[in-house]
Amino acid sequence: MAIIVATLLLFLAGPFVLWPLLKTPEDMPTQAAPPGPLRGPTSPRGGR
Amino acid sequence: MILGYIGAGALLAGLVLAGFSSLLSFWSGARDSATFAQVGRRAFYAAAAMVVLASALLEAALVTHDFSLAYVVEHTDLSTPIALVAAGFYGGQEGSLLYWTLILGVLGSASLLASARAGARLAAYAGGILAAILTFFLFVLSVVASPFDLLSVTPPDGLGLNPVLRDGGMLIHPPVVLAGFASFAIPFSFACAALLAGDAGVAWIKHTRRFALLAWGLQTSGLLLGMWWAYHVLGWGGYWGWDPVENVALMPWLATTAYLHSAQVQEKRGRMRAWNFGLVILAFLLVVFGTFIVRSGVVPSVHTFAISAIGPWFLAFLGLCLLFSVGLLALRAGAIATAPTHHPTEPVSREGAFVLQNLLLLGVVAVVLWGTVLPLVSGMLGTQRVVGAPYYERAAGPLLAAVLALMAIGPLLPWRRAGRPALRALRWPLVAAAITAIALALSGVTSIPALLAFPLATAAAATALTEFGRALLKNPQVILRRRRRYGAYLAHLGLVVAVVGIAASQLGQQVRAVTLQPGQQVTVAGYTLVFTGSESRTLADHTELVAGLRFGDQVLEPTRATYAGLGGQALTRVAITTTPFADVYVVLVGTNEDGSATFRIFINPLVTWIWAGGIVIILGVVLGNAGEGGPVAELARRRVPATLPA
Repeated sequence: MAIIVATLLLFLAGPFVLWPLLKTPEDMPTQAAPPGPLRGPTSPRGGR
Repeated sequence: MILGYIGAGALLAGLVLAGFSSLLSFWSGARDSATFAQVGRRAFYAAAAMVVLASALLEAALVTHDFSLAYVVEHTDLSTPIALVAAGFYGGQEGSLLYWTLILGVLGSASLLASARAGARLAAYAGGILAAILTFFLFVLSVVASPFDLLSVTPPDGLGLNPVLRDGGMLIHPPVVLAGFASFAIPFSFACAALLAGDAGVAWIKHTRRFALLAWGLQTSGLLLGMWWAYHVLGWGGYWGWDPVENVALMPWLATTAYLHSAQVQEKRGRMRAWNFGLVILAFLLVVFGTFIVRSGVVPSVHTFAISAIGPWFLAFLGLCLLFSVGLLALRAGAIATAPTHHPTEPVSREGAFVLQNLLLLGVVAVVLWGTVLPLVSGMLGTQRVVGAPYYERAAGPLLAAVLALMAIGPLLPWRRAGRPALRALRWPLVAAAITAIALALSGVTSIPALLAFPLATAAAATALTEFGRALLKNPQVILRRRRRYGAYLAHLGLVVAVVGIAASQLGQQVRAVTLQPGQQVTVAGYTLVFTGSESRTLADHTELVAGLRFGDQVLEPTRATYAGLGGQALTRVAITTTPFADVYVVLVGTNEDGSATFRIFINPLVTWIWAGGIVIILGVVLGNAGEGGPVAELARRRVPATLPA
């Protein structure tokens, strides 16, 4: 009986534990925008 | 019955999650994988949640008197007051282990939540070690000593709580002591993780500083509450008997005290790196050793109610922890050695004082450890030998006196080297010590321990008060701004107050055993008591023999309670009254057929100072730990001008 309860609880905990692995690439926050052709040259001080 | 099934299932699920968390965290630490480290941490949180669920279920089973559970039957009955029924959670072996695991899970989760700032690999390894410790406890709880074992037949009532535990102290002493023990797993895990990650910097010290201070505060409170409980319940006139269980609680406290000081040397001067790792490891190993001693019954102790079959498991766990941590330290010793510096340190300096204090405290640990394991070692070699209070007092007393002297000197010494101004600052503690010594000598005190302890305590108090006085005269706000520093001074002050109470009650205690007829009086150390008679009372679950003693306007009622339902177990209830200078402490030994009664009367000077000192120490810990900013905040504060332009 305890093993059945444990299995059920593990199923409940599964999504929470494995969430970082379940995230799709779209869910991931972008680290840095890739340099695009329209941006033009930027100075070290942010183009000001 | 359903609570038992769900509770056992929650522990089993927790065991699987903790094991998974440990393996994955170690693997992600080795591979430097942030995603898997995150999964490992989440598995730890989930395992902790299972422990919380199991704890809530055990508490529910206790308060609803679910006698289908063996644990509920063995530790409660229908007549036990509900607060003590709830405290039955940690009143027995299995429950107290679950409580240990609960604290480990909750504080471990708190330490892991913000651990990424300490470094990704360090956090992953720390999670792995914490989860491994949690796995061990959950294994013992699931397989060896489960609080959810079911009885084949449900009895109508339980066996009740041990009479010694039927006291208000039961509500606070065990949980605080156990929480103090469990919380030191966090500094241990981060220290071992830093060794695994090859990170000998101060990141692990900074991240675990609050937890180490919390563990120390809990251990201090636990020790003092234990002393208070022993004093009020056990009825032998004192509060500290050098019992093995008291000793094993004292040793981690001493090691933690040493670590809290030596960690500052690493933070300020980048020194004593290997030493700090060693101290944290030692403190945790002493905690596990203490748990083994209490639970296994290998040495005779007053805590025999906690003995069970889990001793060998804890011995194996102690062996594993010892091999892992000491092996790791030995492997990394070369890499973590302090780099040579162009600024050599003089022996007479703050660092020098800390090193000496550390050595003295470790000397006390060695004395206490040897006294504790002597029955075990001598028993294996032939005749069992036991040492008593005189051994501890003679061996540890001088070392503790030297620590007290360092409390007076150390805080006044600057880092690196002490010049003439620092030595001039020592005049106040020296004057305070000299005045106290002269006053004691003039009042006829000839005891060498008293002539040492009180002047040294006064000197240590003078140092702490001088520092507070300087701050108050210059800028009182500095006390709040530099909370860590002034919290430490406050803790020193509390310790000094407690030391004065301990010294006065140990050196000035007076005891007298008397048999009195009703109407007769006795005078001990100037305190007069009149025996008014005795009576027998029958209560729900026990009978009481109560004697009345008039003391001024009060009537003291020392009592002997007998629990027929528990095989006639008897319990002494001490009558204590506190006067400004001493406690009058009366124990009823028994009554006689002619109406007379026999008492042991103790006059214990300044015992209340011990409890008052404990409160001041805790205030110091709270002040030192309350919301002080990190190094960045400290830097920002320093850059803000003292007065802003209008």
